[in-house]
Amino acid sequence: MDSLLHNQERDEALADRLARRLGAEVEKRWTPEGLPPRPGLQPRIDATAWVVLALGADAKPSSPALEILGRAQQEDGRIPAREDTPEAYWTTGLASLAFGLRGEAQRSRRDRALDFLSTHEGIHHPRTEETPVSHDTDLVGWPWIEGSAAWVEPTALAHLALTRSGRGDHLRAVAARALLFDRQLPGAGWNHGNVKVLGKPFRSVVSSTGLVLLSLAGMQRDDRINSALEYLRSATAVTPLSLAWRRIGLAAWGEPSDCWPFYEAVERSTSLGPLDGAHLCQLILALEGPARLLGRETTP
Amino acid sequence: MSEKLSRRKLIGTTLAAGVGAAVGGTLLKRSLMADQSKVFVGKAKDYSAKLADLIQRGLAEAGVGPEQLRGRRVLLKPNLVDTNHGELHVNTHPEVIRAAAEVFQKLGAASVLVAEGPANRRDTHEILEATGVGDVLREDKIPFRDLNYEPGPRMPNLGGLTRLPSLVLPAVVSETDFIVSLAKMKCHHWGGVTLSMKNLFGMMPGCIYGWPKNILHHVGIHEATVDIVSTVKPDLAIVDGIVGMEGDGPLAGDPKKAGLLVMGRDLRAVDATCARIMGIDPSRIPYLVASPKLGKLSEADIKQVGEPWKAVRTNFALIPFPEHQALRLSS
Repeated sequence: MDSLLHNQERDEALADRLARRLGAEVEKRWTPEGLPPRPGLQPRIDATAWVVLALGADAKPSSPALEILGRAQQEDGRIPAREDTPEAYWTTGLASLAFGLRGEAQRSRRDRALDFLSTHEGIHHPRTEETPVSHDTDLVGWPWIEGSAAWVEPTALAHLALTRSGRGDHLRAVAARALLFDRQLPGAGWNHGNVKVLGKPFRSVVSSTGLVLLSLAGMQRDDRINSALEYLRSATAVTPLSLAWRRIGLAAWGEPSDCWPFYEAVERSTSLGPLDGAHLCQLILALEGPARLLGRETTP
Repeated sequence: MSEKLSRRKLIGTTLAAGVGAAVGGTLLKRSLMADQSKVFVGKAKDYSAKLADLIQRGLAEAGVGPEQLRGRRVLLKPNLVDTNHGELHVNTHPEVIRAAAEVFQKLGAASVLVAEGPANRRDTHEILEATGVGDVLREDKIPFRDLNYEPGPRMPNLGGLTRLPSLVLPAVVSETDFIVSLAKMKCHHWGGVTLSMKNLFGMMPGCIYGWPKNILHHVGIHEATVDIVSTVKPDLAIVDGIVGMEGDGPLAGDPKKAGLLVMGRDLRAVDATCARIMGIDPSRIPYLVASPKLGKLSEADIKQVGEPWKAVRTNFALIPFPEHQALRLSS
């Protein structure tokens, strides 16, 4: 028992040390225009929102990050991936979550973002006999980019933004849950959003499953959630992103996971080039735990 | 995959393809005076063959040597789509990537990097690790760029076949000056085939176009293919057909050993030749029909070197829908 506790403490110390190292890297990369994917490139809105989600609203770069997100917000409430690409609006859910962490001070921006999400949706249409995919194509969720279908990850992000703000009973949040469960792989987790195409089953993906489990945290635990958690527990995860999302998905449902594999994964990945800025933030969130994204927002 | 697709629309309409073929044929006749596109087909019995030698020979046949490569910054764009550990037919094989990088370095390229942006997974490194590509890149110190996360400037759509007025290309396109589509020889359940041209869907940043890059299917998979190739302007194609994929590609098909690498500077001619080798009629593949400005299509216009395609033809199985069966090249 002592040994177990000792190992757990060591693991937490490791997590803390790595999170601080990655946090320092994020601060080093930070620019007045936001967080770039790697030094020298144009900052991205999603990476900038992840800074707030990973480091918390009170961290040094978070105030300028929120201002950047605020400036990026368009008249209709969307916060697109880039100013010159307003149709790529999947980032609206992320930015809304970031605004939500600042409470009252960012309430108006958050509400405008949520209003936008409540009135925009991916293309959907009734199934026909000839539909080549197995999922229900008439369910309503969110696309990555305007003019295309709803997919699992943007839907999970928007659903999380709605539920965190107390709109979990909104018609669109209810619809999002229906879509997410319809896209769950039988007895397993999620991927980008295909269950079967032309009768061939697709496989679950750790990062998608972790994100959906975070999005659904707080709902009644049932067999569908249990099978996704079981998938995450047993799935191979050797890369920083898959380790991060396995840990986030499990932690969202109160289950621990080890941090020690993160070290080797980060070393292996960075030997091919710097980690993406948003991925650095997602690693920090995983190592420190996703508590700030669970439950309903509280005014600080 | 687009949900607007139905089985009947899988490949596109044959009528449209026929009309396009007629137009394309006229344009091709006009350009017959121009240099004929060269396509090299070389045999490799498996991935332990001397692939670098074969690629170097193919490049020489295609007119790519030190003069064309000295000082150039080369981007190799493989086809890395899934994590199938140990399966040879899903992704461009790591040994093909290694050999290509070696040849470009040997021929004087200033730099060689590998870049990819998979359509179905946000975690690109998962694919690199599962396929062994990550190990090859580390062993040979080849840099990697994740195209999904590094968008560059918005460029005018030079193809103009879709309703998209412009395309966001990855930043690395402006940092390199010799782009190689290092594709896989596969059947494709929406496009008929996926070869060097369709491979460039992976250039489009996921952080803009999503996972999968569904909008590019909604605007028309064939039209989007032509738009992307026209805008990216790749310089060379190398298609890994040592073990390809037949049937329900690009993910769920079966291995098909063709034992070949196919190369050339004219991507349309390379894809048309690959299709013929696969027993597929290139004049029934809408993106090939719709891209006369991008290269040659008819057998008469393509100067083939190395193995004659007829001698190495090996029919790839087609999924059992009439639209796919209709792609079969007559003997």
